[in-house]
Amino acid sequence: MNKFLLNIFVFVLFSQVYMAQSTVSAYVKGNEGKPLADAEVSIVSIGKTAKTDKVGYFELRDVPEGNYLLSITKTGYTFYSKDITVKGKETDLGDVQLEYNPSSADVGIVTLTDDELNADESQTQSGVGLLQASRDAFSRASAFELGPYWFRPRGVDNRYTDVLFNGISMSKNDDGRIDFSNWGGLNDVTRYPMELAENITPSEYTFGNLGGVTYYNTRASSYRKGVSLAYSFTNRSYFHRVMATYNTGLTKSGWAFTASASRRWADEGVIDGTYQDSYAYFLSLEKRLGKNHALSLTTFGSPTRRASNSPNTQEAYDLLGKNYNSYWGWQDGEKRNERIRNVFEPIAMLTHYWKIGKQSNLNTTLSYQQGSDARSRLDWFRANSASPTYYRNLPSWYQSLYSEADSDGGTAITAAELAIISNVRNSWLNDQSYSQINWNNLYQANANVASAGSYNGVSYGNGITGKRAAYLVLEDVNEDRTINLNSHFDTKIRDNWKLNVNFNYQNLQSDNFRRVKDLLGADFGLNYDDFSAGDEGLFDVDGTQLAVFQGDKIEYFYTLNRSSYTTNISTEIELPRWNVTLSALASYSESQREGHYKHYLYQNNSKGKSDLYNGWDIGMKARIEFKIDGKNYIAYDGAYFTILPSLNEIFANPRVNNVISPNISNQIINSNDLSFIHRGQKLKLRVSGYYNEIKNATEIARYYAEAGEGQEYFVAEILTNLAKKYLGGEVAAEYKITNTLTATAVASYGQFTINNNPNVYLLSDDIQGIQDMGTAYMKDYHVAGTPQQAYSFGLRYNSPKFWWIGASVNYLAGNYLDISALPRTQNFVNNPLTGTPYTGVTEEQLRTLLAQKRFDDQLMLNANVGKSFLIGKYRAGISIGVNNVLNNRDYVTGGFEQARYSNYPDALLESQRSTPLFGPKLWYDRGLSYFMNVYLRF
Amino acid sequence: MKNIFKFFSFLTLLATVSVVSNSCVHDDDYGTPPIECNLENWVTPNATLGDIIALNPTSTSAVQITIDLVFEAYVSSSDETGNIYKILYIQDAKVNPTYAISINIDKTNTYVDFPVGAKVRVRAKGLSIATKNSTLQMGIGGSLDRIPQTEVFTYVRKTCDATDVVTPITVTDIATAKNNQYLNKLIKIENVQFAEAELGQNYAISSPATTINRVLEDVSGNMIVRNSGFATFADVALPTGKGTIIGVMSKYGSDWQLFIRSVEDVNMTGTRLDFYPPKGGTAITYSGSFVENFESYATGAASEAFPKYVNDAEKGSKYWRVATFSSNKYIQMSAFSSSTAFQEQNNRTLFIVPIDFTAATKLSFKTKDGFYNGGVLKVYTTTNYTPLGDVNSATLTDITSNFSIASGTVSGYAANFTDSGVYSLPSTLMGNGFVVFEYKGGYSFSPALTTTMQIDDITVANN
Repeated sequence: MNKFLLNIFVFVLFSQVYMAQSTVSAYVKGNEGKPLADAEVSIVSIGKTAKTDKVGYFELRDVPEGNYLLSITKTGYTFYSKDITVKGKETDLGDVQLEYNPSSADVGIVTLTDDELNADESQTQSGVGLLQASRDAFSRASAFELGPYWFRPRGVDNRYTDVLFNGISMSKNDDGRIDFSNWGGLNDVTRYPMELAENITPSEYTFGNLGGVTYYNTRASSYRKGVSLAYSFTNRSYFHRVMATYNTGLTKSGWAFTASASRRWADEGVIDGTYQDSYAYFLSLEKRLGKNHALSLTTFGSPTRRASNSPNTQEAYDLLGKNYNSYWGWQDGEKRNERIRNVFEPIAMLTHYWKIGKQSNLNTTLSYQQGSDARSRLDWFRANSASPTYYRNLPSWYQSLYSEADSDGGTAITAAELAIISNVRNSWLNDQSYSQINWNNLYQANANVASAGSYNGVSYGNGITGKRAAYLVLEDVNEDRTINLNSHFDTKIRDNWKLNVNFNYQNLQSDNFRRVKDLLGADFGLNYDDFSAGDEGLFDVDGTQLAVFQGDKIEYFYTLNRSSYTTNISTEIELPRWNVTLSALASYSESQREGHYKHYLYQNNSKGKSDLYNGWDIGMKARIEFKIDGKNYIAYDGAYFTILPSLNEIFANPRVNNVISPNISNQIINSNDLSFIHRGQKLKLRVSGYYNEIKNATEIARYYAEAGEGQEYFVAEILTNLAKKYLGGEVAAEYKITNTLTATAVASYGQFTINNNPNVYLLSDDIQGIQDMGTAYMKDYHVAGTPQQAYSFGLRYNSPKFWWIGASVNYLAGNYLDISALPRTQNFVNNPLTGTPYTGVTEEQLRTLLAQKRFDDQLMLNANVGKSFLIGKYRAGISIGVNNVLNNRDYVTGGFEQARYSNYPDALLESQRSTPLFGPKLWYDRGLSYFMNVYLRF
Repeated sequence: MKNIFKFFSFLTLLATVSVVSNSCVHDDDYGTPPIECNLENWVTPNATLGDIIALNPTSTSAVQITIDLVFEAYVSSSDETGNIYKILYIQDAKVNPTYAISINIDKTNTYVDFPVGAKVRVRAKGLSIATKNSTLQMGIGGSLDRIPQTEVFTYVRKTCDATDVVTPITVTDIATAKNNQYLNKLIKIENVQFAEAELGQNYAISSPATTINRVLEDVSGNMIVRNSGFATFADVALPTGKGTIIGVMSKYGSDWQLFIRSVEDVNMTGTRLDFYPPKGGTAITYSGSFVENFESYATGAASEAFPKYVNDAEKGSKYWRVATFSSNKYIQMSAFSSSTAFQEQNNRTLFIVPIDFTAATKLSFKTKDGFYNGGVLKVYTTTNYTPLGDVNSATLTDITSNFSIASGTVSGYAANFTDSGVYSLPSTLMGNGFVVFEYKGGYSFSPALTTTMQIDDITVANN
């Protein structure tokens, strides 16, 4: 828990006389010390509520002694919550100051987390961690000003971030990453986390990781009572959002009920051929059982369909602009997208709250999540690539073909050849049947396949004859079933000494398979490897039939199982000038793959259960705060812990076999940060320095590689023993120039580099065994996925008449291309035939060829404006936020090298081409984006 | 009351949301679009394939077609398996075509554009025609290059006609098939098989991709079936039986070769043709007492058919035959050949002598070896062999160890025949049966097993 930031007020309650019941009172004040009337005050756990009067005063009577969470809400102000100790007859909290922040509640963050979902292709794009509105100027700027430009504080990847609902971690076991789409659109009920621990600060509810912990409590009684309606209009991956939330509040009979629903949709997003259609629901029911017990049942889910956009080479962007998307093509007057993600993973949670005595709580949650996440893509069987951006479809291919190969007229380009190049270019510019997927051709191709009863002499099975598909749409499906049991126990050993014990059991069964989604007019697809050159290419040797129909499984089918047991103990001691928090972790987990297909190449280790992979994680975190005086603090955070590899890392190529990645071990994380904090009346300042190390990391890149013309095979490129170093400093200052005008300045300077030379291995669907590619010389290359330096300066005017206007200037620098490991191995330099270096290799040239691309630095402007109204009992608000006001389309948000030319002569030739054939694939910022929101509450 | 009001407001909103939701997003539910086909705006046929070929029927120097000639033809080939690669074979009729030609195109997987049996329209203007490597071809420029991928549909398009069956021309035998009139056409040859030497191997080798000529044979002769190392069926085993093959007839230089489209074009499940069948056996009599000294037979090839015995080249083409030395006649067999062209991988030749085992009690013979490089002779008895039938279906009892057989004469021939010694036939051996003399050798052995073996004075006695 971010104790320091919440712990602004010091309570002197120890000397009160002991009494059984107490009255809690305080004066609630806004900025400039003005009293705040009509603020809602509550202690949720015992159902006490009150409203402040005209001088901001409130009283909660007959509160039994003990520890409580006090919350205060007031429209236009940041949600306030505080742990309080009630003791004695009177508990006077003195003045409670709420922060005026009319914008924070209703704009913004949704655009970021939603766009993250678009990143189906590569981890580069999906790395932005969850950023929540917090009181820290730096976090706020990161979330609202820099976040939209893919800035990740401290370079921390999503996988090192934790989000918990009632103690249940939302990280996926497959890759350790959080899927925000599970609760996308439920902004009303996830607006105020109960705990927000930043970076490595110890949490009360879990050990946490490197990138902070966000803890949501979904008790119905903890939500604001009443109805909330909102509509948003934006131009991101969706255009419209409607949200409605209703909460009964706690009734006299001890019930509370909250319902929330939303829909987000766009028929076509900003990027060509994308769409989104997401619904979301949230239901939470709570019942008080006596004074010490409560039960809460929560279920939520977000059925989502969305169409993806492609990363492209610069050549494609230059031809068709930054909104170009190669995944769609015209069919029947509609833009049909091949890459559709269809995800719905509802979760249900039953929580028992038990107050044990006056000083202790035991909260236990049992949850079950089951759902499906399907991502479609076009596939082809003995046919040419259907992708318009297949390299042989681009002008650059013909340019290189005619100028490099000895065609007619040698290497000089003849008039006829020039005409062909120019025709291709014109087709790209003017003919969408060429520059987009030509669905009609695919249907036509399928119609042209001869009707038969066998392929390569292998019968289709069970007397089936017909036309097998040359093109078909398949879905990679992940169906998880997760059971979680979580207990959180907290107690106060002494008034200033708190102890938390957390226990978690998790069991995951994850089915993974490929499914036929659309046969595009063919009669069936074949469960057969068209790469095989014999009659043995069966994906499932034990299968009874080659022909598979719509909805059938195809190519691979396996289950991953994982059970984990985690305990975490933390303790916090408050001394007059010191505050020390310690947290320890011990965790055990075991993982196993079970294959359901006997793959023809791996008949001995594809079907059935793999070896059990088990291991322990341990860790320690510490936070030490020293109060220099009432306004100045020094805080140190340190962490040392291990992270077991995720399922995707343990199993090298789970689609085909049980092989466990070679040389794999737990990641070791070492993190330190030291901050100086000043909190004055006018100036709030934080200066931090940090040094994070990740060692023994395993990274697996899986992609389709090409062999011959159009033949694709699936490759897993495994990096093991990878070390990374994150070093940097942060400065955040917030200065109240006047009572209404605030300036915020934030600077983050980081240096995130790879710190060693990891090992590389290659595995493939179509080639047996693990190829040891040796060492990849990657030390000192930059970590990709975020600008490493970011600066933001903003001004905000908060009118006392409930409107505000703000603007910020943001500068992002040091964003790098994600490099591929293969060209950094010895194979790049050495000719495999002779074992000696290729002729003409010089160190200087190697440096040039293998240099990491640094994207241009960019300046971005943001602005926002809004107003809230009070009409009787109705509260309403309107706000508009605009990011990238100047519509800068030159900002590369991410990109990766195509692992294509991994030897010196090819790379040299490629570097000499005017337009590379296999240039890096890039994502660009989508330009000016706005988010307009109106809401009504009563 | 207030709560109820709020709840109803909430429900009203939900209803509104549902209505709004009718502004529906793509449902991803696509039907199969109607296949629209319209070539009327393209070009109209004004010639036949025959007209085009008449422009340059035989010359190896290319003739470029400069007038706007358009013809239609039927696709007989498929590159689905990759065996036929970047070539499209077309002919002027589905049945009994008169003309056929190949077009070179720089595009793979064209079977989805021009499936077998499709009628295509070809705009010939701009293409060149010539005889190249012995077959008629069309392509770009003087060397008949492949039509660039982006230009393919400029020259060739599938017509709107439904894909039909192209019936291969049935050709009597391989010798007949080797005729220029069949070039580029889809033909079918019956009663053929892959040569014995090919058996046990695959159509080609996929890794590293190696294209291989497999020998196809029938009574009339043999020809090449050419299989690409990139074909999907490269690693499929060749069929071992006899039957039918369909393919596009082609020629490279003077080599006649056939390209199959897939393994489905090959149907060879019948019993193989034995080109070296058992000889003789026309006057089998079972006797319990006789001496065969071969003096009554002529020598040379004519002697291979012994009326009283069966002479079976079970593997390879060589038979036992009568030879003479110093006025003595005997039978002789050797796998040796001084000409590599005639060296055979495996020889197994059997000399089968009928015996009345009930009457007979003793067996002896004489042997002489020459250029010995290993034992080649074995002797068996059998009682369930059918004369001139398949020796492999008979039960053979090896009795070789009861005899002394000549050996060790590495250079030249032994001076004298070696007596085998007298072997007493077991009394349990009853009824009519055979003694089998088996010669087994050949160049597949390492080192080659080519010992010359001579047999004389086979003696069966009943005392």
